[in-house]
Amino acid sequence: MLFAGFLLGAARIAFDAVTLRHYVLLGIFCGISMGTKYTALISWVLLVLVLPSDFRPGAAPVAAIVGKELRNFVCCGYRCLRAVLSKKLVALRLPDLSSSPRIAAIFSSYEATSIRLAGGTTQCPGNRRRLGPRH
Amino acid sequence: MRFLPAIFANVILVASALGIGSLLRPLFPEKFSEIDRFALTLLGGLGLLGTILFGVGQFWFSRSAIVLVLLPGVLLSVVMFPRALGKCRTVFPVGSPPILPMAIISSVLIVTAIGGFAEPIGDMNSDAIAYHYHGPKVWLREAVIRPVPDEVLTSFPSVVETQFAALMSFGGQRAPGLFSFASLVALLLIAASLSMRLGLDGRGAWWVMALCATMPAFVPRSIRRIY
Repeated sequence: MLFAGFLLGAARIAFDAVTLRHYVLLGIFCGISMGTKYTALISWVLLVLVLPSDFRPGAAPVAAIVGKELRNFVCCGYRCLRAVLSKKLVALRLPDLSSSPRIAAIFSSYEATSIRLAGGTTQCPGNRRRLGPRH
Repeated sequence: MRFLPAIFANVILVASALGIGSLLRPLFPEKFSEIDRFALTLLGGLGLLGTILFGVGQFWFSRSAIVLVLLPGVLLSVVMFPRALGKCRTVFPVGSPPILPMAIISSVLIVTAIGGFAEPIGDMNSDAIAYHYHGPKVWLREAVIRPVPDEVLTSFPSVVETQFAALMSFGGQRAPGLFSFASLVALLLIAASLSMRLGLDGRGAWWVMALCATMPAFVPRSIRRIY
């Protein structure tokens, strides 16, 4: 329960953080949260990225830059996961949800956005291959 | 009489947390209201206190060490308390709180407090025992904080568990259970603070607290002394 309190406290600070000392306080609360439960390792990343960039006007440019890198990271993670999962799941005769057209479409648009933000072309080699029906 | 040590230990711990948390006040944004400041002081103090106890406990975790950690916080809170008491009325900037949510919150807090006086029961299959109480008990016995080799949960982050150890040291087995009252209050305050920041008025904040207080994730856990 205190863990939730620490995270809500961090969110409360993040909403109004402007100067360096406010961010120091945000960092203290994120650290306390991580000292309470490992789950905060995910939560504080979301706090740092999402709150300044999406909910406040005039967001810090650092958040946008880190957000772009995070998008790239997610795309790479998805590709690796799909490469591993598709082989494992075929071997186990289980349905491979990661290669379903709907999920692939979501990640394709995500990938295209990240490449565009990175200044590259939106033509991603991974998106050209049309996924066929599973057997 | 057997409940008094648990109450005493909790009062000392919360007072110390408020004192240590007051050190964070210069870092608060200027636009923070009193409820924001109070909730964050309490939460920040609890977090810092647990962290300091954990750090000191790596080398020395006897009752004397715990007293030495808690004492500065208690002294700070004694200095700050009169000023904070004067501002208590402005924590909720609303004339008369709505009856229904206040009744709900009060009843949940009463049940939490009564349930908190119960002694912990269960074996190592209970999360409360294995995760939250086993480590503190061994740490106090050994007078040092170390992971217990046959229980992996004692290797997890333990900012809250070190405070349980401090409470056990002064208030016995019942004290950590009663701490659920203080942690529930802190959680409700920060929930109200966040809701007011997002545009609700004082009445809306009371309803947010009532909704949070009735969430099963909060209520049964606080009564069962699981954090």
